[in-house]
Order: sequence, then structure tokens, then C-alpha cells
Amino acid sequence: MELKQLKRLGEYQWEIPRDKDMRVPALVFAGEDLVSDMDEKVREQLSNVASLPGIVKAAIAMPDAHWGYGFPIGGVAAFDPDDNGIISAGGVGYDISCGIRNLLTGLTRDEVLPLLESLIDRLFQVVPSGVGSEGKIRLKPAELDDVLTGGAQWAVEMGYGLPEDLAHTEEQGRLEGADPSCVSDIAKRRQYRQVGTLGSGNHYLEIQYVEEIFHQPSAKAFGLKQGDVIVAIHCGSRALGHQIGTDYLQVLGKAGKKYQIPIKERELVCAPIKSPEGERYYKAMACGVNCALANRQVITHLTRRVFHEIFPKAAVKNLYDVSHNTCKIEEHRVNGEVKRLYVHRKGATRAFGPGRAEIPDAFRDVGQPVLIGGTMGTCSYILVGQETGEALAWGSACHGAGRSMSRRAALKRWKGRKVISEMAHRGILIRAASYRGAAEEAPEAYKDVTKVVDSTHQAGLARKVAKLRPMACIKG
Amino acid sequence: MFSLLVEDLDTVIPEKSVTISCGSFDMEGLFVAWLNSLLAESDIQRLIFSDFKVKTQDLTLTGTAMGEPFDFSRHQRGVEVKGATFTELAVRQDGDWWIAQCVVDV
Repeated sequence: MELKQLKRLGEYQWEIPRDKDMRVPALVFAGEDLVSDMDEKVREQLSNVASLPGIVKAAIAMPDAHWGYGFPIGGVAAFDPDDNGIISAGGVGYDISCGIRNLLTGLTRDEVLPLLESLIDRLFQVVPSGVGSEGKIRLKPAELDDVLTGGAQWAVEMGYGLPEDLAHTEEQGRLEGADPSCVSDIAKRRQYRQVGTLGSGNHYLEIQYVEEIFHQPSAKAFGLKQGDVIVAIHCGSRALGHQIGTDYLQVLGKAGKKYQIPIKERELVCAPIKSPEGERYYKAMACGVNCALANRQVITHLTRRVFHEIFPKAAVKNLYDVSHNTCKIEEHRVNGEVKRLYVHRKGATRAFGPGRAEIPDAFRDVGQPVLIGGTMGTCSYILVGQETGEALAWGSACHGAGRSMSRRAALKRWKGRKVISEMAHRGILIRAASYRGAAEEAPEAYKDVTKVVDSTHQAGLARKVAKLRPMACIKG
Repeated sequence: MFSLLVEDLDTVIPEKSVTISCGSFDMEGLFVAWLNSLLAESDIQRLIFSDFKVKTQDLTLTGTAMGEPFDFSRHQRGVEVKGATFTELAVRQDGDWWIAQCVVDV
């Protein structure tokens, strides 16, 4: 992105000034080198988002922002339903409620290392991953509707996990407002065999250890100590979410014409929040969120079983589960007044600071855990939400490293087998359903997650708490 | 698109056929709807497709997709395609040929 087209507001904050179509300015939070490396398309897409009806304050990009479908990935935008605000499937993404769950294991790196290979092999057997994989759970239509309204709460009621897992899941594992009648039969039929599966692409299940602690009080509240072993589960709403996104691109495309909403890119198709089409999309999207929460809950259950099999003394607890592809109804202060806004976060993590009612009791004094996925060869981070982030970006932070290279370019440069063997030489065990997937996910195809996290920290969006190093990873 | 799901699409035998109909609000939308219908049928019927025939009339498409069930002893897994998107979307007729393109999300 050309810096001369931006106005610098601070060391880690930039403004794209309003043009004639933009209703609000756009803001980019990142250090100079990350902003320079962002493609021009991010600027164009942010400007397009800033032109949508009812947008409040600014269209916002996180430090890991990159080109996306309609909205940039790493994009945040809040819309006011009382000011003709819109809701957009492009502002959520195809993988509704894709997110990360981190599990504490009660084990240390030294305890796990001798049995790491058996552990990852067993997890690879038990947690279905890759194209065409099926879960052990087979659902009938009425049962799937229960998943879509019940989310992770459904999973726990069915015996997949513990009640205490829910307290540490965003929305306590179940987003209100889901209506399965707004989800197509095709979307449901695609999901009957996919509950409890990891998927492919950038989804993974990773064994990590805490290498470094940056903020002791938050680490203590989160139950983190140096050397602890953590499991990270990164996946979303599988085929159901994809199909909801696909179905509603058509629905919202028609609605946009009906309500005469000017858009600059087809993928920005949207409808007023207060319209039958907009309301139906929200209800369907909430089903997608619940599907993703159920999915990560079932995978948690499978993971816990494997840990107990191999390490009888393991105490696998849900640290936190947070999504990074959502539209949420949240209260925020706008010009001194509390307003109910529809906050779209696409490739951006909610990062509420201390005191917010949405945060689990255990974390309310410090802020919510913000889980940032890196690559299989580098590191991941746990951050904590800060009050400053709410004023800057509706309480949002980055979500991961963000790709620096297309999948096609990565595939030309690396071979999956070689990537896996190089990781093994570095002591990181990779189990991949597809060599192609492993090549596309080569660590060098991503931005430096540490730079992204440092920018997030320095910008005041969220504070660094802990750095996690990969030990073994299942790639879908 | 299906050459992303399996490494070598030539190993897929077009022995089963599925008929698919879809509609949209314009020709470009119809192309995306067709690709997404193929992905959905592939998921639901657990088939991988390698051969296709389509007919369009107004803004409705009727097509046949041919393929076979996933067999991971013969088909090497690629990556899932989440959906066909409106990005870089273009549909045009060039003589007897139709040329259509879009980005698919993986």
C-alpha cells in the first residue's frame, strides 16, 4: 500500500481519507513495514466498505489485513441498524465463525515430548481431517437443527465434552437468534456427516508449548505457565457455513438491487439490517456460528479422550474459544451514547477489555483471551483484550499471520513432502491429509506473525500475554 | 475446481451422472451458482466430478456432472473448495465458445 496515499495518525495508526463516496474514513492499524507490504487492494476494499450505508466511525483494517472477497480479511466494520445500516455476507466470510480454541492440558513440554509421536499419530487417527473426511457423528435433519440452535451446548448435552467447557466459550457456546428455517436444505444435507471434522486449507490441530510469558497477571488468570503444553484447534462451520455464505450471496445480491444499495464490488452484496433478507441472513449466520462452536466442542472431546489415553494424568481444560469470522450484535459507545451495532469481523478477533459482561467471570478483571494462530513452523500467540481497543476498533484484534503469498505461488515454490521433512528436522511433527495442503501452508507463505502481533500490541488493540511454539501439527 | 479437490483428475472415472439445475439474477451469478451446486452435490453424494455438460436458457442452467465416489486408495486428496466467489468473475461468449472465470475460496 502506498504510504503517500495515507495520513499517519500515530506510529501504528493510519487513515485513508474520505473520498466523495466514502461515508466515513478508513483506518489501518499496523507498523510502517506491514502497511507498506499490504496490497493496494486492501485500500480499495476498505474504501468500498467505508461507502456502505450505516457504517459507523470507520472501516478498519487489522495488522494482518490482506485482500479478501468484498471486505478485506482482517477487516472490521460496525453498522447502525437505526441509520439504514446493512449486513453483508462478504463481511463475515465463507467460513462462518472460523475460530480458535485453545486447550490447557495440565502437562509440560518435557512430559509430552517422549510420547509426542504417539500422541500426534493417535490424534490424526481420531480427529477427521482433509477433503472428503467424515465425522463419527451421523445426524438426522431434526438433530442437525438442534446443532444449529444449540451450538457447543448441544454437543455437551450429547456427551461431547464437559459443562465447564461452555463457560470458556464465546457466547457460552451458543449464539442467540439462530433460526434453522433460514438455512437451506442443501446446506443442512452437506453437514450431516461433517460435525466434528477439521476440514482442510489453513485449518489445523496443533500441539504447542508456552515458550515465553509477556504479561504475568493475564497469564496467571488464563492458567498459563512457561513450558505448559497447549492444544490449538483452528476450524469453522465446515460445509454448512460455506453453503450459507454461497446461498446468501445470491439472496443479498437480489436484495441489494431491490433496496438500491450502491456497491462497488459484487462480493459486497448486502441488505439493510432491518429488512426481511437482512434478518434472515443474520439468523442463518447465527446457525453457522453455532455449527462451528459445536464442531470445535466435538473435536475438543475427541482430543481430550486421546490425551487421557496416552497421559492418564492429563487435565484437558478449555482455556477459551473465540471466532474470527462473525457478525455480532454488540453495545458500543458512539459519541458518548451507547448504541447497539452489528459488528462485522472478518479475519479479526473480538478482543474485549476488562469489565465487559460478555467475558467469562474468570477473565473479567483482566480482559478476554485473544487467540492468534501463526504457522506450523513459527509460533502462535495469546493476547488479552484491552479497553483501549474498544475505542479504537470496537474491541477487535488481528487473527493470525495473514498470507503473504497465494496458494498457487506457494505450491509452485514448495513440495509438501519436503515441507513436512524440513519441519521434522526442526523437531515439529506434521501429519497432513494432503501434501498439496502442506505445501500451500508452508510457513514462508505467511507474514511474520510476530510483527503482526507486535503491531497489534503497540497499537493498543490487545496486549501480548504468551508466545506458543509448535511441537506437532495436523493439517487438514 | 475439482482438480483442487484431488491431485489427478484423470484418475476419476465418469461412471455416475448427476443432473443439476440452478438459477441466478444474471449470467455471471449463474456461473457461480452452477459451480456451487456442483460443490454441494459432490459433498452430499460423496462424488468427485470430472466431466460436465451444461445448457442455459434465460437465467436457468441445466447440467449433468459425471464422476465417481471418492476413493482415497486411488484419488490423492487435494484441498477443499469452500465456494465459488464473485471475485474476478467474468462470463463472455467468443464465437461458439463460452469463457467463464471466477476465484474459488479454499
